Amino acid sequence: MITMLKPSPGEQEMLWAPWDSHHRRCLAAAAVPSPRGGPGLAVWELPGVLQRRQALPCGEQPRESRRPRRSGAAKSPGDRRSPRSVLGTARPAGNHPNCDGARASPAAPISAWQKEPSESRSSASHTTRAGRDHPCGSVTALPLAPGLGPAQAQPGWLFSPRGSRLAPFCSSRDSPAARAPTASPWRPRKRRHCWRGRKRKRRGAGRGGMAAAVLLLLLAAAAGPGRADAGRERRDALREELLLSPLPTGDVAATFQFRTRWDADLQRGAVSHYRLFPKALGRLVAALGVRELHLALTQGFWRTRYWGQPPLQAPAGAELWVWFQPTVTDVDKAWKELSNILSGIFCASLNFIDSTNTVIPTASFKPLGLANGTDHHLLRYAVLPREVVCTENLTPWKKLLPCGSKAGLAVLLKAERLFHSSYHSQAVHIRPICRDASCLAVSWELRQTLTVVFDFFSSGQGKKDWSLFKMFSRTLTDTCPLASQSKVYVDISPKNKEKELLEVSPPPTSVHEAIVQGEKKTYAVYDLLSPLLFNTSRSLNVQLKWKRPQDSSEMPIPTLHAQRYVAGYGLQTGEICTLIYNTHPYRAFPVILLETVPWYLRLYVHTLTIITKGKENKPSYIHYQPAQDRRRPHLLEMLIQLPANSVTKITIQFERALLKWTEYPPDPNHGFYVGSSVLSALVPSVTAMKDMDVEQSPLFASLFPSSDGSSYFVRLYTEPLLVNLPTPDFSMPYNVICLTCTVVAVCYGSFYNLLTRTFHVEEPSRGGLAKRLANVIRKFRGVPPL
Amino acid sequence: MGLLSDPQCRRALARLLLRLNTPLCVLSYLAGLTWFLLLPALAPRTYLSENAMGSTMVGEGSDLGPRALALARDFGAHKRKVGGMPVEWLEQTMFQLGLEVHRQPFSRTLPFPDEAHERYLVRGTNVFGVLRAPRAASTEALLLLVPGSEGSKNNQAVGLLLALAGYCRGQVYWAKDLIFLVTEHDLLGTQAWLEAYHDVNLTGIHSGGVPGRAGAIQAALALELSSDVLTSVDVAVEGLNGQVPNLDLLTLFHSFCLKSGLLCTFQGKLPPPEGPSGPGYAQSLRTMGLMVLGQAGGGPGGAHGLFLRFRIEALTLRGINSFRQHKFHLGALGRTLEGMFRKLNNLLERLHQSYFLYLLPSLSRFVSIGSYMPALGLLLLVLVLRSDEGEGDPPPEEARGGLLWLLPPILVSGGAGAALYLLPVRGQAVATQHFPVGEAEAVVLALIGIYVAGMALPHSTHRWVRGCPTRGWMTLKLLALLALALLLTCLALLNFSLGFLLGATLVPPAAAVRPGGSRLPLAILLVLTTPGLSLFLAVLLERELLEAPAGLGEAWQRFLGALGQGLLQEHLHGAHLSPLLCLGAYPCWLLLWNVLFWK
Repeated sequence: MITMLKPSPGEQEMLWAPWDSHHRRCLAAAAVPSPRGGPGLAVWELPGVLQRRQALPCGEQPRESRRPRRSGAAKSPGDRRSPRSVLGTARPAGNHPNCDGARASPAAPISAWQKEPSESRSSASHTTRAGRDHPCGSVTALPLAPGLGPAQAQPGWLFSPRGSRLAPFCSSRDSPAARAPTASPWRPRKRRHCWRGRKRKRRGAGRGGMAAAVLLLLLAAAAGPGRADAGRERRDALREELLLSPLPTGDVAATFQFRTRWDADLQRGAVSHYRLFPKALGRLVAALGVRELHLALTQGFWRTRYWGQPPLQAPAGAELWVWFQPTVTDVDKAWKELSNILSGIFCASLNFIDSTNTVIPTASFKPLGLANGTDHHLLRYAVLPREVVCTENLTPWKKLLPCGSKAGLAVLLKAERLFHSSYHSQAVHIRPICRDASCLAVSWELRQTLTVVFDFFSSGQGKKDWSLFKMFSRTLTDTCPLASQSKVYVDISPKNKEKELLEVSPPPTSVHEAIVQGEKKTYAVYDLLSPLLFNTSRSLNVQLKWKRPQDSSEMPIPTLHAQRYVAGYGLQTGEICTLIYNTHPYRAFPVILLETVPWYLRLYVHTLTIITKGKENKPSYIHYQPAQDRRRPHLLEMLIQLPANSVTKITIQFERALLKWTEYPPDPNHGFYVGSSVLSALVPSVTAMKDMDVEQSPLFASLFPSSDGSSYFVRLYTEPLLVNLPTPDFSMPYNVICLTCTVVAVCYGSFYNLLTRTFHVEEPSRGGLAKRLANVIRKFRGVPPL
Repeated sequence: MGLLSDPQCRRALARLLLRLNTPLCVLSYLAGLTWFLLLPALAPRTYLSENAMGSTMVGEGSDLGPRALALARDFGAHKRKVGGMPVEWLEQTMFQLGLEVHRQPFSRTLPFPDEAHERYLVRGTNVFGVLRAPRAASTEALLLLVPGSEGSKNNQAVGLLLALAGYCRGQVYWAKDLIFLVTEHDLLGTQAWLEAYHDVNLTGIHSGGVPGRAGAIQAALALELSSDVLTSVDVAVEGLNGQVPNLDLLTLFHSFCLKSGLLCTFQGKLPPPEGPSGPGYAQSLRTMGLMVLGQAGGGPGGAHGLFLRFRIEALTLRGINSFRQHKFHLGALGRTLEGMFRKLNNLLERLHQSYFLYLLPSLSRFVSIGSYMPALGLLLLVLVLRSDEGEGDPPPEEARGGLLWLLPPILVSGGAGAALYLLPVRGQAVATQHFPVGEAEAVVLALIGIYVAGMALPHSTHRWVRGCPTRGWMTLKLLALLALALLLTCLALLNFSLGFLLGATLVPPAAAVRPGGSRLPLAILLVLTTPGLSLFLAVLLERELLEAPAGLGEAWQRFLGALGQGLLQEHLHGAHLSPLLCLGAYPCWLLLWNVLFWK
């Protein structure tokens, strides 16, 4: 039973925003291709950093088993001084654990490490599938056009289908080096777009190395097409960032974000050589046709009412939602396979995701990255609220980082401290994004986020001062040499108009002001790559001191927050209540509520009531999918308008099912969990927001695209629920079976006889044969019978 | 069973039963009573079934004594200043302790003024602080409750609660949220809070919502403490309608008593001396008798009693300061509480391993349902034996005349019961208009009046309808016996103590009653065992068991108070005692009364 009510035009927008507006921007950009294809990223920054800082190679990976390969063109030590010339022709690959090539061991001299580009080049050239790997980049016209929805039906999503516009442009800028492979017989027929020439032109410096590069490339081209192909740089970059924000309650939230961006198209299967991007995930994306993947493992609960809007909240337990490519034929199979593989990668019980906890939301989850269709049948969403997150999940997550936990911000990720906190959430987000502003090509982005909330009340005897060392029992000493950006942001926004209440030390390298989630925020920024930072001391230990003790119990209340609980008592029925608060003084806004309830709570849909300010609030969109026993859960999605300054109470009654005796968990259980419900809303902002450039703004502000200046996107999760089901006493079955059988066997038959039959005293019959004979004889004799 | 299938055997058996009916009944009744009296002597020791609480060790590190006393003094001072619950101060203090603080206002108009507590229109505010467990998503909680009352009662308990909250806030091992609740107007506030927390309205209380929740409450402890030092801690288990918490919770408390050397009592009785001895047995019997009386009363034995309905295991701990020499500081009790919370925090499942139905002859021994049920079973056997009393007699000629004549006696006695249940509270306005009494007095006096008047209702109402056989009283008695047996069987499962007490009093007259012959002794027996008088006798017995015997006058006052409280508890908390007696036991008894005066 699916009820669809027609949303009003404004809500229709809500249903699709903010994703669509974001896409429309992309589309608009794509419709008018700029002559240069927009600014590219600084491709060569990475080797530069390496050289400048002479930092540790990431060969410090603990689980290295180095296989020193000395094949290919070994470089002379002099190459180290001008890596551009080397790296200009070959990729400095091989540092990452996921790399196919050899890795440097901790003891390996830096010269050995510097040699690796060439090694990996050769190895890469052998391993890449030449047909897919072509000089104009690997982005081709994706066969997504048939899946375009009405809202997206605009011409030219990434490329014009014909692509003729791009091809001449590409060839006109092709360098001779690049032209060589282009002319080769295996030249792909697919569309391409040229960034190579641009890159070369922009890089005015390094001309000295260029000649050598060209020469090398030519040689390589002569040697073989594959080799030449690998000489091309495939750009990937790592940005890492730590956001420290004091929460209104005095706790401190630390949000790590590691973003690996790779200008390659994983989907085409053209990639077999991984550098910064973790290979495990990359291959997963390619093999299973994943368009977007979001996995979060969380312990604890983000208390929005007291901690404010989180940068990125996740429900308690494990959450996984994935968009698949339209090319995937059997989505359920891919989903099952994916959850099992992720279960292995992250050491989590994601393999418990099956049809009984998977739903297909229609409105709540839209692709966060590039997408040209929102056919929700390609989406799968599951939450495992019972999942316990611990170090065994953190370790594999850390191993995905290019520098592991050896250098850069990841040094702080010490499990002992991270799990000694009030909230711990680690997440992985993979999505395709626009390669540049013109959005003509697709890049893949991997974001690894980790949020911790430290409780300084219990550890600091009521004092709320903190420092990096207090939180993580480590300080920052160096940067990850692979990172192109490494920054620490500290939220020093004045609260309650009391300025200068807190003090950070050491003095920040700069101050960044931004409007995040509708509020004007000020951040102290520590750029770890800036040489000034480590001048004075060898390590960075950011400290924050409150000048005055906070004594006011008034805390800012977020515009949108919610509470959910089970009402009623007893083991037969109950009621799920959700309270949604809109504390905005004058703006109403709609919110999408997604409720997933396991099948063993039988929802009575007719009891669904939504009350706001004493009146019934009719949702403008309802999607309800009833559960099927042991097959799928209930799914309830509603679009509800929240009036200004109101509390909306949503209640629905349920009956507790009696499970089969094998369906109860074998281990001790407190009850059965009901996963968090999801609230997605465009919350009106107090201050107008500027449209930011995603690449320039801090990472924590750029996962959810903002729709316009007046509102921002918020996704909230409510508390998971614990529901008791009628549980038999499992120590009793044997006794009960024995007793019941005895009672039935002994008593039932007798009592049944007694109750249903009537008993007569039967006169003795005519006796046996002898008696009969005797009587016959007596009859003849005339004597009375016996 | 073959015995019954064989008609001749059956006949012989029936004949035997009929012939030996009276001796068998007497024997069965006496056996039932003896069984019950032997229970304390045969009770096994208690043991902790729950592994999560048993084998894990916790060390209690808190020393809360001085801090608790300081906070208690502060609380007392602010309470006096405000002249009620110092809500602001409590909120501020809890916030400074690092808790998430909420308040919950409520109001309630009682059905009639409560003379014992001197209240009618009650308005109050509960304050509670939630300590959020760092490792959980607020799915489970433990609760510590202090029912605040007027005067300086329970001030020290609030101090200890706050001190414990402060200590627990500094610990990191919590896996369940801790709720620290201070209610106003003791049980009324607790009821209001519980109903608001579960978002139900059972008793018509007007309460504001609970703004902060912490999931399913797994266990609760209520604390009552009014002195700076204490000599012993008394624990109350009986809850509303005779429910008791899981035995494991009590065993947990007992184990901490033994560990910390705290003197723990049950029903105000010291633990009996070990080993089989006369005084030990008497002590155990007295303790169990008190528990049976308390359970049969059906009222909550403390604030914890209200939690049991919501499937929250709960206990009340009362600090006692008597004239005993050895005193304990509050810190000792604080450590006990801390240890109990830590063990409860370790729970991996709801408390369900141990007994939910038991009687306690002392803190360290228990009588399980399997042991005490035969006592009531033997009493019920009397009723069953008596019900086939008339079977052997030759059936009267006009037996097939229909049973319509049964209707008037049943309707009259049922109507009397309904009037007894409804009129006192509903008709209090009329009563106060016409008689110079207050509302509370009017209710109690109306109750007694209707009760006594019911006995004077017209007898022989069976004559109103034609067709009554001459031996019809047998049918009526059979009906009364079956009704009584049904009532007692149901009660045996719900509230054994009440069932047993009713059985022990009502079964002999029910078995003996018959019209004709010498009516006076039977009438005296019936009047003595009427539920109302049983209640009076129970009051006397309770004082006797407490070793504080009361005179008749005092007992009468207490009896009147108990009547009022019984009615109030039904309206305030949903106790079942008064409807059970009014609508179940009293009509049954009236039927027997009718049989006695059969004409």
